[in-house]
Amino acid sequence: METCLNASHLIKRFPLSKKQAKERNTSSRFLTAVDDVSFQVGRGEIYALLGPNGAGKTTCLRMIAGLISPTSGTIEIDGKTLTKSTDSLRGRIGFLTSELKLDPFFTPNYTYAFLSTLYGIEEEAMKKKRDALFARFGIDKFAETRISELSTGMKQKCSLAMSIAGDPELIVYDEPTNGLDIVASRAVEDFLADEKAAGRAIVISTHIFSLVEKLADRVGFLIDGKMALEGVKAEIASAHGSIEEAFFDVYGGEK
Amino acid sequence: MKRILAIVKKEFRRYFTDPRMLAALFLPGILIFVLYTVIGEIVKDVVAPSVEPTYSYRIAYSDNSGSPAPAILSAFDAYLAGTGHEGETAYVTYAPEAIEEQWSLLEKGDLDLVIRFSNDFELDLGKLTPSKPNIDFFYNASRSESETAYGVFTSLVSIYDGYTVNASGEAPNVGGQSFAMNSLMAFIFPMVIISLLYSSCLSICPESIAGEKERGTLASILVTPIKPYEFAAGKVISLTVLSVLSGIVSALGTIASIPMMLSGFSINLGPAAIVGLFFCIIAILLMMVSLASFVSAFAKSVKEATSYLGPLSAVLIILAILPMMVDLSPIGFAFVPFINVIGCMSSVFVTPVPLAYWVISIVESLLVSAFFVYLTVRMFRSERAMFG
Repeated sequence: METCLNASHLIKRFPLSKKQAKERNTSSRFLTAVDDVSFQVGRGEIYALLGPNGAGKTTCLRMIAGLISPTSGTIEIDGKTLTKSTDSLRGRIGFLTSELKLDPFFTPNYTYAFLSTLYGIEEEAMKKKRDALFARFGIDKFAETRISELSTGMKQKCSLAMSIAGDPELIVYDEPTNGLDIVASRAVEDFLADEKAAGRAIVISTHIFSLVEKLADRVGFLIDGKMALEGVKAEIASAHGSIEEAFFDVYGGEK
Repeated sequence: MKRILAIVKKEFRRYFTDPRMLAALFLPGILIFVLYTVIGEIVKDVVAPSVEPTYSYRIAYSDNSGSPAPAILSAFDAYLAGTGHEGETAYVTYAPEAIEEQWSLLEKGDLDLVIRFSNDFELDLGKLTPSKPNIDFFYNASRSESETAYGVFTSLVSIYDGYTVNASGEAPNVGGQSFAMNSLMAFIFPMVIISLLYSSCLSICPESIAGEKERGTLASILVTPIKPYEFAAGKVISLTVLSVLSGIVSALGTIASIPMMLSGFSINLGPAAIVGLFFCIIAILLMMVSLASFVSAFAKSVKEATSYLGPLSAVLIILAILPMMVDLSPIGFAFVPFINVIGCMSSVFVTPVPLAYWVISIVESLLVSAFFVYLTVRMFRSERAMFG
């Protein structure tokens, strides 16, 4: 399978103030959020990063999305190295996180057009894609309704549509079903399956085992910033009985 | 460029289609109108009774009133006596046809006040005549004594409604610009303009930058290929335009309130001074917007941004009242940011400001604004500032 994303020996350290160091009961002035993490994702593949809160999943995904720079290590997308200054490479990544919101004041139509302009997409192409995406998610009926007036599920559908406005080759979703009801979660799952089938490389972070069991091709267990176990989902599941068992075997061993 | 424009358009859309945002944008202008009108009312009372204790007033009145000693004159004497005034008022009469000669004496400073009664003014008082008797006062606003005499007389007659005052339509001020009013404006103008413009900045910048961060909408923009400088430029351009609009509304509020504020007084500013004032307002606005943008980009939330910017408003107000305490005309002040523009805005009302002072002040303000924009771009590049 052709590799789209190659994350190699990623390390991310955040500086700590004296107060923060005291609170964490450490003499170190740095917090290592991600410690030597490596993995690859191929086209048409879903990679799931599993881990408890504070394991470094979000930091890892933010580095891949180009929002923050790794302290060391490299990220390559289609063989091109991503650094913070390579703004154009960010156009090839669709990023979605629960912290990332759409302006509630605007309508889906306007927001999509605005983001497409930032991605450098021409108006005609934008309209064509917007119509198709909005019809696919059922947003078309609410295209001129303010986002603040939409249901949570519809907002998430809008976010999904906006995240691929730039026609990305790599999709990076942080906890994509977090806080969603079963109907909205299903919509996200279907969307990820469709995008995988369309040949996009997808990285998700989650702590929902069922989602991983259902969708992922490869998994990585991130514990305390380190990649505790990484590999093909089917192989890990068969070795431990299930992904959930595998995770707790590894997590128990680490702790 | 397309991305910068997209950010600018988005900001405009945000502000011009939301009634709350529109109110925040234009409320300062309305407040200026109300404030200046109220100040005008207060000023009328404050300026009028300031009587110099030993000065001898020289007043000319027309001899057609029907009485050799009209009652209003004795009311003036009684008022002066009540204030402990020691000077002796000299009254002279003139024929109504010789009014232009009196105006000329007034202009030269040989008279303090000229009173013109309508024919048989005293005899018509209290009579049911088709039209009320009228009394016109003329003064020279460039002389404080003349201005005071005018102020005292107009306040004395304001309580009677048996006759009209200055109903002839002729301008009561036959002299130059108002000394008292201009001195007052030199103190008030910078303070009112700065406090209102800063309050409009405060209502726009934190919401636009820190607000986006707080709501999580900033991240959805920064994950696109937009460069930090494009984002910062789009924000600063749009916020400046919005603040300028707010400033224009403030200026309109000022202009609309002037007739109320200056009833009986006048402020004459030459076209060069008005152009200079315009550039000063734009310069100080740019500095405020870029400073507020930088602070908002640094803060994690609107509340945090406002908590930093709030105390800054107190600093700016203190700077704005400096002209009341310090003479800012020495050229050295032209090199001190903010103070230089305040110096221009204040001095222009009382003395011609040298061109070098104007140019240094405005150019330096632009440089300071550019520095704050640079810091804002740095903030947008900072992981710590953007993602905590």
